[in-house]
Amino acid sequence: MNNDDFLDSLKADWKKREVDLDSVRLGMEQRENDMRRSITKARLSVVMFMLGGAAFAWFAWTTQDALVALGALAFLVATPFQFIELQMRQRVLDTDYMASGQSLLERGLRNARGMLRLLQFARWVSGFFLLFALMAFGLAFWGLRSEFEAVLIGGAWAVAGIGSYLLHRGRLSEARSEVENFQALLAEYQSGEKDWQ
Amino acid sequence: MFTIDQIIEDYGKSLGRVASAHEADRALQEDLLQEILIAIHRALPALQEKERLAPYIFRIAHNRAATHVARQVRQKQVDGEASLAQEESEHPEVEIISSERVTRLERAVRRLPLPYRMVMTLLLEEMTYAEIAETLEISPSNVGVRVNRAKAKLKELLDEQ
Repeated sequence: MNNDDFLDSLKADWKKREVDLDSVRLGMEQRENDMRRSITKARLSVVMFMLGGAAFAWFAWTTQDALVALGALAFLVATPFQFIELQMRQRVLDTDYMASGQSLLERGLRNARGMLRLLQFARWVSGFFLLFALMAFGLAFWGLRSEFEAVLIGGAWAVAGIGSYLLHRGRLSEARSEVENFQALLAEYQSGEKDWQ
Repeated sequence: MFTIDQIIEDYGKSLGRVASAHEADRALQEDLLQEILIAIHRALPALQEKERLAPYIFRIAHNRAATHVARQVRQKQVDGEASLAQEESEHPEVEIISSERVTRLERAVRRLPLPYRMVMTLLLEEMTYAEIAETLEISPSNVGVRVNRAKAKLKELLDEQ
């Protein structure tokens, strides 16, 4: 079999693969809706953190309470992080029709590394929230603050800390794998480029 | 004026085959195809200005596929021996030969290094060297070199199976 016959037989086999376009259309519609919902959820999360931070800041200002101010600080520190995560989610939807293979993989690697750093930071933020919650409960336990305040303030921090931990649990190892995969693909791509030069 | 329905009709099957060149798992292939079509849908306003659609459509498809492969954490396991067992179990014991040949070819294409996989997929979709060069933004002579190497490697992989 000469080279052209070999290629022709490959082409003939290649085109035998069937694709159910109706199912693809339905799935695409569903996926677009899911993406919109996911972005809306991320936006809501940003708004919740901002409102939480603002409420705590106002409460701290009116009561001149250092513990509440600490809570406000935690929320306000977490807000930009939530915002960046929203930006990254939206970036996944970028159309990249002008990017070349190499530039796309380099950008993907940069984004994956950025996401990894964010998730590592998120883990610290969750830890701080839980630490603050324990502090609030501790102060109530030792009689330095009222139980009502402990439940209100400590509860809010505990919910934020556990919620943030659950949200990002598992994503850290995925993000590490993503960085490794992008590095491997980029190396594979670059070796193909070098090969022919 | 291009619409997404028209693009699905004209390029849907080709894009499905591109997805199968990068992803072994059938369910994930469909996911990838949907991702590709959504990316094309989002790029449509910019693509309306282009004289020829195919290079951009396939560039989006390959770009999406490359990022999909990187983001698919379990991809490496799926693409190895596990997928072989899965693909075989999906078909009845008395499998028609043509279907077996398609599966073997897809598996071999997936095992090609990324730059060769990209040119080979486009070549199998009947694109010319000039069109492949435009799609991948490389020179036609680079396409020629990659095609020759991809063919040799593909032959080797098919003989191995």
